[in-house]
Amino acid sequence: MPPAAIQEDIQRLGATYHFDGQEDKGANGWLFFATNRVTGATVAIKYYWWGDQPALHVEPRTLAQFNSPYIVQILSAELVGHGWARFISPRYAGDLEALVQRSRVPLHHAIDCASNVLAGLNSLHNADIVHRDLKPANILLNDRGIAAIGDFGSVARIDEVSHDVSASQHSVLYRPPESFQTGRYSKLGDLYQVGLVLYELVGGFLPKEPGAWLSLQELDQYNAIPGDFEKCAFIDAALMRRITNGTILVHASLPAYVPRGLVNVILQQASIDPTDRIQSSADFMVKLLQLKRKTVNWIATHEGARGEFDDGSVTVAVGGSGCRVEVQKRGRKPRRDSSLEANNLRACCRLVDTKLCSK
Amino acid sequence: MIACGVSIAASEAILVWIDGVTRAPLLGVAQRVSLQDPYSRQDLQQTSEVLRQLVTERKTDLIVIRKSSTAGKFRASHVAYRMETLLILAAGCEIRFTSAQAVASFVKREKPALPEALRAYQHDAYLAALAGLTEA
Repeated sequence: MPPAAIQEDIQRLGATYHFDGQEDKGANGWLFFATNRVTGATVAIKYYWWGDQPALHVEPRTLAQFNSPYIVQILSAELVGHGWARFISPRYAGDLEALVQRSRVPLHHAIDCASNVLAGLNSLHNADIVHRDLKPANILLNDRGIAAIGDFGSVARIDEVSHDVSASQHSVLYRPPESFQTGRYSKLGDLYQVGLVLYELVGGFLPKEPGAWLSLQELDQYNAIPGDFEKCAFIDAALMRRITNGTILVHASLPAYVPRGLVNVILQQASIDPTDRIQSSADFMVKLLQLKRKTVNWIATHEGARGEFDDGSVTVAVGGSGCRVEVQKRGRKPRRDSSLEANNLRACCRLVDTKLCSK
Repeated sequence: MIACGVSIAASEAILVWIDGVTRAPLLGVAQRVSLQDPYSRQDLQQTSEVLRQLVTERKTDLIVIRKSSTAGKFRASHVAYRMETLLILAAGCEIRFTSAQAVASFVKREKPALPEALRAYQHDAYLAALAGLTEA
């Protein structure tokens, strides 16, 4: 139940907005969805506590600086009273976390989403701001499938001399290794997080259940811990060990159709040493665009994988017994192409990418 | 001041950034961006976005494009002109064009040393940037 000040404000806004729902995800403040009775625009209304501390307006202030399709826009912001404030932004159709949980993501859509995030990140980084909490749940998707960075609760301006800031304590799973080792966070930390997001989008295994990160021995120790706080600390310590060891990603969990080049880029971005990563969001975008052009738009199927050209002119189905490859050109019947067949699914997909995308 | 020299070969733009004062190339930031399908709207949009990101991220003040030849045996393909257009639209800074003849005459006059850090395919873009800077 929201505090009285928020309830009063909702009543007042009721003349202009029809409230359609409330978001339970996230812990900072209260989030409602509404439709403007005049324009018909659907919006998200976020209430947050600021309590006379202007520093707590960081999220709306940061959003107001940018006018990029890849960063959530802010429509208005107001003080509500009794220490509460609110800002209104457009309502998005969903977020990447829901997308990943709901279905397999086509390879090109995954790359496009990562490129959108990098474009938004480029605007932030050019203003010397780091996000510090990039994860699928904080990346929103509009109804045209374009991704935009949201949740600016952890943003910080980087120091002009050291080029970094103190590390955020949010979302341990997505924290870069250097933030545990040095307690500092730089632009390369954001690029590490984009690498993880891309890994999840293309089908990599990154479980959210705490138990999944523990060995059997650790699980016994975990179950013997009495308090919830201590249990959380135990999980965080186990996660930190894996992150700092560089074993957080299981590249074998990536689908067979993910090209080797993309796997290498994901692993490069997740490397422990920040200097080994691609050093800027623009360079990362160039790399992704090059890789996208060398692959068919693959998606996993029950039998194996199905790929198509972006213009829909050719569809390829790979799978079944003996890795049968069928190619269908627009308006024609599918035909088996034995020149694209190989011993396993991975090799078949490589052959298809090499032979069809080079034409 | 940071200047970006661009040479376009076939469907690929080679970009080299140099420090306008020291005339030295900025190391590790050269890029090549290609346009795979000049008839695909998505491809054009993505290439344009990538170029825009590169230009803004490198805080580029001036872009010098080595003009594509419009006539003769070595005239450029239409893809090269599209690439030029994308660059012009994507750049939020001053743009200059320099011809191959102007670059050749600059090289003859100034005899600039080619930095070892640059690959052979980047030399044209580097020299275009230098020639464009001297035109100021």
